[in-house]
Parts: sequence; structure tokens; C-alpha cells
Amino acid sequence: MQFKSRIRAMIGLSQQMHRRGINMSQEARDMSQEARDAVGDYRYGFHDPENATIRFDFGLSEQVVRDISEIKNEPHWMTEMRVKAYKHYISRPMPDWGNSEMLNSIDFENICYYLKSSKGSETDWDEVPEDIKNTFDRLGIPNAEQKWLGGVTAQYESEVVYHSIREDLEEQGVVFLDMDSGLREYEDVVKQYFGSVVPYSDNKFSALNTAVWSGGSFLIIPEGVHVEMPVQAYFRINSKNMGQFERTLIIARPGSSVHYIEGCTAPTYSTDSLHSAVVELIAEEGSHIRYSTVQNWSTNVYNLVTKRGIAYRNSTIEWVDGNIGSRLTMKYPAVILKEEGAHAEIISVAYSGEGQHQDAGSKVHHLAPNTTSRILAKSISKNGGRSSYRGLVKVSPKAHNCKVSVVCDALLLDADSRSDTYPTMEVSNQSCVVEHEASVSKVSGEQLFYLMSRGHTEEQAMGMIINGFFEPFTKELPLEYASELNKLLEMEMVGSIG
Amino acid sequence: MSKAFYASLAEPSQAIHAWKYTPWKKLHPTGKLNEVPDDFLEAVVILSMMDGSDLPSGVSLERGDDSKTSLLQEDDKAVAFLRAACDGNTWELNIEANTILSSPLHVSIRASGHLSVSHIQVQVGNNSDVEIIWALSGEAGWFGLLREGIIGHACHYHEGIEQALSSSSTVIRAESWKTGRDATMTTSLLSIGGELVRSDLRAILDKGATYQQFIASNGKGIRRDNHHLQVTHPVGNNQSELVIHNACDDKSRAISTGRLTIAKGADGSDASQIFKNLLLSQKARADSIPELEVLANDVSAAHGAASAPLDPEQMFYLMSRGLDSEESEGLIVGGFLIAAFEKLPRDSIGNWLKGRLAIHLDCNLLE
Amino acid sequence: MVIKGLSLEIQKGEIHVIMGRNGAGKSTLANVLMGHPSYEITQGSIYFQGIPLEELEVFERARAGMFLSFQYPQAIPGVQVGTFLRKSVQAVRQDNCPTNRQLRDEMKAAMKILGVDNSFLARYVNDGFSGGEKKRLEILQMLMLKPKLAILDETDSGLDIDALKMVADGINSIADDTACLVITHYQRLLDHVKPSHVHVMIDGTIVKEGGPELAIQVEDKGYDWLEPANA
Repeated sequence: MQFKSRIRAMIGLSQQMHRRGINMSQEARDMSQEARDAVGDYRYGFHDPENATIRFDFGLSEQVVRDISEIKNEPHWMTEMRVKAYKHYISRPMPDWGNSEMLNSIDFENICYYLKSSKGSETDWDEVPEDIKNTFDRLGIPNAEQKWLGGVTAQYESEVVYHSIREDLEEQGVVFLDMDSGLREYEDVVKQYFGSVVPYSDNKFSALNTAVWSGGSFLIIPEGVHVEMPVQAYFRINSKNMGQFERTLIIARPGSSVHYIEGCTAPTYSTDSLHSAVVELIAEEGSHIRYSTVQNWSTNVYNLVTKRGIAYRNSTIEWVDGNIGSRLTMKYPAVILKEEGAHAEIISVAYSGEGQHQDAGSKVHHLAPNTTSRILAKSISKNGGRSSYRGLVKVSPKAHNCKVSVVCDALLLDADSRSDTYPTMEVSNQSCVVEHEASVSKVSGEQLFYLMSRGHTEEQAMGMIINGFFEPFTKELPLEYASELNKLLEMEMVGSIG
Repeated sequence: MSKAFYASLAEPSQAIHAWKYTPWKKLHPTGKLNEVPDDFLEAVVILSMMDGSDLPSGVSLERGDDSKTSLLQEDDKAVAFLRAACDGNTWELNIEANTILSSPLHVSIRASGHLSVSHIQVQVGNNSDVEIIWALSGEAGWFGLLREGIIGHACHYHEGIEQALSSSSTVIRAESWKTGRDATMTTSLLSIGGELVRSDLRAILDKGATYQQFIASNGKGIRRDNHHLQVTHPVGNNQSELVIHNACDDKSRAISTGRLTIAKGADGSDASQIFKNLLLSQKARADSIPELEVLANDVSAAHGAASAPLDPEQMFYLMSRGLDSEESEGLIVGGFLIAAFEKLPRDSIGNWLKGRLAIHLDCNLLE
Repeated sequence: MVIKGLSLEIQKGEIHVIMGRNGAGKSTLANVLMGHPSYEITQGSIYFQGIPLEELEVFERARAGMFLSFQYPQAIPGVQVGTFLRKSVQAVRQDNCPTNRQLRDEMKAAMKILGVDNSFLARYVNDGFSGGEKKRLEILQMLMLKPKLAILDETDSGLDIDALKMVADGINSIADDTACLVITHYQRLLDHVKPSHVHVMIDGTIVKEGGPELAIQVEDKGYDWLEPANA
């Protein structure tokens, strides 16, 4: 954290920071907070008029899948994988667990599965189409001149329109491309790893994703390389009925490390949107991958994601997962601890308001000895929202001496909200220690009274308590995410009392 | 209850956690899933006073009425099977209101023959204070026990159960208990017998009620002990507590699934569940799925699950006092199992359970 | 009914001490003054600078200038002391809100009196704090919020002599400009903080009033002699 603030101090306050309130020091943070207070509410409810150049009809068929592959000029094996995945998708029934009511209300026929809005991937910010630039501007996404950011791949309407890689990353040999370019330029690597962590047959939605995937990030960190700055990507869904099926593949070679951040927002629509992504992580010996997400889709979006990583000898995979938006999110970041000494860390927070169901959790599979995992899941439900934790800890017979700890904390802010905890622990090795604890409660009246006695209104007091509740998650995010999240949660408290 | 009803029910899906690890087809005595065999023998049920005295008036064991069942799981495949097997025969243990017993009751249930079954309906009248020891035993190849109880207002009902069927039996239990307003019920189970054991135990609490369930299970050989424990708070201002300790040795397997539900509006509920597993050998296995669904917010609900091996520090300490490793292990395992009953408020039941466990583990735990 | 009839008037610059056994109703009085939702006033009224308190919500009482140092301060996990202090100052001292520089200076001075350093600011409010640390944080807040009425509920309990001195220094530093209501059942704090008025509370009501010498008498003789039956 300190290293980053020094770098930012060196670069100096820029226009970007005023607009997004990116903070560099306590002072700057206070000033930008004041600026934002003056400007008013956070608003993400906007979108550009549709200007897609290629667009498919609604609905899905084998022909649509083949057409997508053809437009992208993909190698034959990828086309065939898409088709196989499509066939599996249509034959596979909907999951019989989870929020069936919501799942069964998704109208798959009424979704457009592919949209491309500009001619190709641009490397120069100037060449990016104007209205797209405006969108990113309003969202406050930094442009290529931001030196402290490792590289930005922005997704717009299923196709990457802009990406840039900082010179030193290139020098270090880090490959950071959109997935389509990755397939083109590193076909052998992609062929080796694509689907190796999440095969298309894994579940219905990984099959869907494999059939129609478009965009996403492809990242290879070479041996021994440590990427100091977080690598980020932004996503947006624009036109009505647009689905997002990005596919991300991150390979960390032995001894390397990287922190990848995915943060997304989406405008509000009148018809449903579907986000069904797949993220595959491969952490080779001694490497370290941290993947952070703050998901804030608007509440008409169904967010069904499969995220999984394989951790090899002495490597670490961390999932830092924040779920704030969407109507229904089903996401269980998973780590397979395949070799000795591997470690998994999963921090998941969920915030469920009216009409929302955050069905999140984690999965860890201990396959080897001396592996460890730590899971922390926190959720808040209010105004009838529902937060569920679904977790799986599986310890195989060969996983000697492993240690697992799972802690779930849920806050219910009112009588209409709901919290579920569904943990499964399957332990087949006697020498391991597995611990799980969960608790559900409301905000204590004594805590509220204490804070109000210091001059805070009930809403403000609630906001502070809730930010404190999520603190173990927020402190793992880079500063601007953390303050963005804090502000978001405080805003959520307004109008929630009474 | 009819065989037709049983046949009409679908086989439960393994997606339901209560059925995930031990599906019905594995439990059915003959494998002909649509059939309920005719040759079930009713288990022998005997009621007496622990201290040998006469049964007090107000306590009786008589034939009951199957149609008056209050079982919560009437639509469950296993329950429908057992009811069909009972063919309408039930025993009603009736304790009149305001009965205060000075010494515990003893109910012996002995299952023999190839297929055995029993259905017991317990009625405890308001304001009673009762302790009951239930001793389940027998050599039956397959034994099914249905138990249901209605505990009246402001009662104190405490039971200790030893399930010690033969080590080759298949034992299926299904129960439902309703703890009435301001009543207290504790149930302590020592689960030792049977090779394939599945229990579906459900409880529902009224306002002001307290329900505590303590289970200690010892797994040896290829024993498989599967507990599904369901506690529901449909209203609030009550309290429930569940503690289950599974010790698994050799190739045994313990499966514990639990569903704790606090309904909307059940403010003031205080509920907890603790699942602890002690794995003693390489091939032993323990699965825990404690589930929690909370729809009211002014509550305190928590659960915990832990799985661990023998603590080497504890072993070292005991061996440094002259015990060999087998004795040390026995002592630790015994202590672990007895610890499940730590919060049991009734000494008579606690002591009886300790005594039974000591005999079973063949070591001296009573100090 | 915990408080069974009580009258009290406190002016700026005065230090009123309320003494009594556990269960006498002293803490209840403190919580009632601050507006704890568990209590209801069935008869009588409380005026704060002429304003009837029933009209004010808890946070409005704080903003009007009331401060309560809690006997059992609540932990607020995840919320840092520094952040909490800053936000509370902003909430309470709105019109007289200090600039960032002034705030920093005030903080430094207050922290010095209470013997806490910067690392204290990074910890989570009362989370894992010892009893002494909790009380010092209470007084630190009092110094930063500059109340007109400071109610100190058993602020001396559980403190070692050094912490007690710091707490006393904190109280004394604002005593001239503040009306103080100190609740205690030990004489200890009063060795360092000189009261102007002493009230003894038994069974929910004030049974005797006097000057500082009353506190010494209670220290010597206990409370029995003041029991209504004996007095």
C-alpha cells in the first residue's frame, strides 16, 4: 500500500483524480471526498445510444456459435470446442439447487449473444471512437497516460476496443491481451490451458460461456516476474439484452506474482441481462495470483460466473470477491490445491438489497499434503434482500496435515431480509484440521447508540458499522476501490431506516 | 399407513443434503424399492422405573393410534416406508399433566428377527417433569424406529438414548418432536450400534421453549452413521442448541447434515449448532453440512463445525503419566464423546450415559 | 422503575459527583440523559440549556453539546479510531469545525494527555482494547468533541494509577468550560478531580447532597448510614 501511495505522490494530482476521487494521501482523500459531496450522487445509470456495427439476432443456435467463431477468424479447434460446448449446454438441465425461481425466469431466447462496436483493438487512446471514450470518461476510467496503472483492457459491447500495455510490463515479458488476441498470438498456450481448469462440461453456464465467449483478458506472467501494480479491466453492458460472456485466462509461471482487478458497472435496463463469465487461473510453482472483483451490476442483471484456480506446489491463489449489484449472482470462486504447500485465500462479501439474491461462496479442494486455506465470507441483507453462502471444503485422503478455516458472518438489517449458510465439509484425511463457523445477527442496538451519542444520525451510524463490517475485504482492495465501495455502502444506508 | 402411499412417493433426490450421502436405495432392506415387505416383526417395548419401583399413576404405555400422528416428515420416503411396515401398530407413552417423577423411567426397545420395526408416540402433559432412559438394542438385521413426541406447556422433558443395536444391523430412525410453550426438552444420544445407521431427527419449538440435542457417535469397523438434524423456530423468544461429536476410527464414516431454520418474525430466537469430528485413522471419513436459514433479524444464530485428529499434545501429556498409547487414545476419545453431553442439565441421565460409554469403550471414565 | 424521583441542576464549570452502590441507578441516569431507547421517562423533564431533552434524538443531544463517557464502550470492528474521531468531530462540532491542521494539532495535544500514540489511531474502535484503553479512548473523544455537558459513567473503574491520572488530567483540562457529571462509587478519582457538589444515590433517588467532604465521609463510612431507614 505504501509503495503505491509514494508512486502516486510522485505523479501528482491530476484531472482524473478529481473526477474519480482517486486518493493519494489523507489530505487528497478529504478534498476529493468534499468535491464528491459537492458534486452529488454517484450515478451509473446511463448508457450510450447503440452504435454497434455488427450485431446478431436474439437467441442462440449452432449457427450463431459458428458465426461468432468465423467473424473472429478462430482456429478450427476453437470452433469445434464452441460447438461441442453449445451441444452440452442445450442438453444440460438447469441446476436443481439455488434460486430456481429466478434462474427459470431468464429468457435465454431474448438475449443477443454477440456484439462488436468498432473495427478492432486500438492501442492508441486517440483512435478509440468518441462516444466510447465519453463513456469511459464519465466512469472516470484512466487513460493511457496513467503511469501507475499496469495496463487497462476495457470491454465494450463484447469486444475489446482499447487496450494498452505499459512499456516496462512489455519489457518484463508480461503478456496482457484481450482473450481474442491471446488466442491469435499465443494459440499454443491457449490451446493447452483453455478449459483445463473449467471444462465446458463443468456446468451449464460454463458450457454456455465456452460456446459464445468473447473478450476477457489473457495474461501470462513469466517466471520470476513480480508485477507490482494491479492489472485492471473494466466491463460494461450497454444495449438492451446484451449478454457478457467474457473469458479470462491467467497463467503465472513459477515464482511470479500478479494482482488482477476486475471491476464492473452497468446501466439500468427494462429487460434482462445475462453475465456468464469464466475465469481460469493457473498458479505454477511458487507463484502468487490475487484476483479482485467488485461487482456492481444493475439489478436487472443475472450474474452466473464460474471462477476457479489451480494452485501448484507452494503457490498461492487469492480471490477477493465483492458482490454488490445484480438481481441474482451465483458465484463460488474455487481453488484446487493440487500440490504440496499450496495455499488458498478467499474473501467474499455480499450485499443484498430489495429484490436481490447474492448466492456466493467458495470451494476449496485439498488434494495434496500441507496445503492450507482460509475463507472469510461476510454478507449484509436489507429490505428483503437475500444473501446465501454456499461453500465446499473437500479434503482428499492424501491431503495430510492440511488446515482449513472458514468464517461466515451475516448481518440482517431488518425483519424482511434473509441469510442462508450452506457449507459442506467432506473430510477424508485424519490429520487435517478443518474449522468452520458462521453467525447471523442484526446490528446491535448498543453499537448504534454508542455511535449516535457521538453525533451521528442512525443512518450515519449504520453506514459506519457496515463499512467496519466489510473492512477485512475493503482493506485488500486498492485505495480507490476501497473508497468507492465505502461511499457506495454509505449511500445504500440513506433511506434504509424508518 | 398404506404401502400404496409409500410407493407413490418419488425416491428422494441426492441433491437434497439429507439424502446426499446415503440414498434410500442403499437403506431399503430388500432392494425392491417399490415394496414394503410383509414380515416385519414389531420390536418389544417395555416400560419400567429405573429404580425398580412401580410405575406411578399418570404414566402409561398403551396401544396408540397411527392416524393421530404428528410426524413432521409424513411425505418422506423413509417415514412412509416405516409407517407402512408398522401396519398401524403404535405404542403411546402417555404422561399425564402435572406429573413430577422422582426417578427416571426406563423404556427398553428390543429389535430381533430379520426385519423389525416400532412406532412410538410420546405425549407429555402440561407442567410435567420427566426423565426417560431409552435403551435400543437387539440383533435385528434391519430395524426401523419412528418416534414422535409432543411436550406440553411448561414441561421439563429430559431423555437419554443409547442406540446399541448389533454391529451388523441397519438402523433407520425418523423422529419429530414438538416442544411446547415455555417447555424445556433435552435429548442426549449415544450412537454406538449398527453398521449402517441413518437418523432423521426433527424438532420444532414453540414460544419460550428450550430444545437441546446432544449426540455422541462412535465409529468403528465399517460403521456408517448418518444424522440429519432439523430444528425449526417458527416463532421466536426461544432457544435451541445442537451438539454432535463424531469419533471415527478404522474405516468408519460419519455424516452430519443439519438444517436450522428461523422463520420470518421469529424474533428473539437464539440458536446454535456445533458439529465436531475426531478422525482416528487413515480411512476414516467425516462429512458435515450444517445449514442455516435465517429470515428474522432480531436473533442470534450461529453454527460451527470442526474436524481434527487426536491432539498430539494431549497424547503426550497422558503418556507422560504412564498410560500407553492405546489407553491414552481411549481416554481422549471417551472424553471427546462425553464432552457432547457437557451441558446436559440432568445428572442422572448424564451419569447413565457415561456408564454406558465406559462399558462400550472398556475404560474407566467416571472419576 | 429504576429512577424514582430525582432533581439536579448543573452549571458550567461545576463538577457534580454522583456516588452510590451498584444498582443504585447511577448508570441508568447517565443513559437516560443520553437518550438510551430502553428507558422511558414517566414523569418529569430534563432541560439542557433550556431545551427539553425529550424533543431531541440521541445524535441531536450529542450535537447540542452532551457527551457520555460509557461505562462499557462498544466495539465497532473494522472502523479505525482515527476515522471515527474525525467523523465524530465533523458531526458534533459542525459550525465550529476545525480545519484539518487545527484538528491534527488538537489531536496531538489530546493524545499526549491520554498517553496514546499514532498506532492507537489505526486500531479498530474498542476492538480488543483493555479496560484502560477503552476509558482513555472515551476521554480522548471527550477532549475532541468539546461538549458543554460531560457525563462520565464510572470512568475510573478498572484503571491503574497511571491511566487514572491521565483520565483526571483530561477531565480537569476542560472542567472550567464544561458542566461535568461524574458517576463513581470510588473515591479514587476524586483525589485528582475536585468536585464542587456531591450527591449520594440510593435505590433510584438522591438521598444526600453536599460538598467534597461528603465524598470523604462516604469513603470512610460506606453507604449504610445514608439508607433511608437509618438516616
